[in-house]
Amino acid sequence: MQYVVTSNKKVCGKVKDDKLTVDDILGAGANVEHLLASGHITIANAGTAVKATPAPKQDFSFNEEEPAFQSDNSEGEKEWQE
Amino acid sequence: MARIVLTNVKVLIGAVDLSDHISSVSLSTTYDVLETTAFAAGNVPEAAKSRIAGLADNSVTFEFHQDYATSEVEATVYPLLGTVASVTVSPTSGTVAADNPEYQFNALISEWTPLNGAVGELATASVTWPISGGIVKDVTP
Repeated sequence: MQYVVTSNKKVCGKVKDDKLTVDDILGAGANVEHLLASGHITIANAGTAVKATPAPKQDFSFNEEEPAFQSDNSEGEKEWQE
Repeated sequence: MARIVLTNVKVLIGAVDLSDHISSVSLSTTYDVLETTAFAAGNVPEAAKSRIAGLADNSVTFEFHQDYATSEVEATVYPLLGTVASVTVSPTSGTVAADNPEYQFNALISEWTPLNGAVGELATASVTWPISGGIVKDVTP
């Protein structure tokens, strides 16, 4: 995961808008949660909306001419009619 | 050996550079003194007490200029209260070298004065934090 410096202070040797990795932060003896909570860094791309891939179009139209299912069980109908 | 006037001391607290809001720094190391004088003092040329060093006790003192703005002093130090944070100090912000050593240690953020000052005065916070463990003196560029 990458982080972006949002602080006006130097953080882990980096300035505003520079990117930091977890290794950079831990290597500098810092704490990720503390830097996030105190507003020095944010998660990279945290505010970017993810563009959803459109799903393939599906044809839900019903073909009335040809029934989708034809029952061969005509005996049941006969019993019901009787 | 050149004398040095402190104008550009570098202080990092939790890897955040707060140098521009600190006006005073003091890094202190003292050792417990353990007396070892015994009856065999007669063997010593001059009868005198003998001593050895015990455990080191380190601390650091800072004078902060308070600032409540986003990612400034208060936002940085207050969340660290009661925790151990990495701190580094060096005489100047230049490259670490034998004539600009960097002292690295872990300080227990044991006290803080969020609001301090009288009418018309600059809001400051003076703290002394005990150091947990030793101090590493780094002179490697």
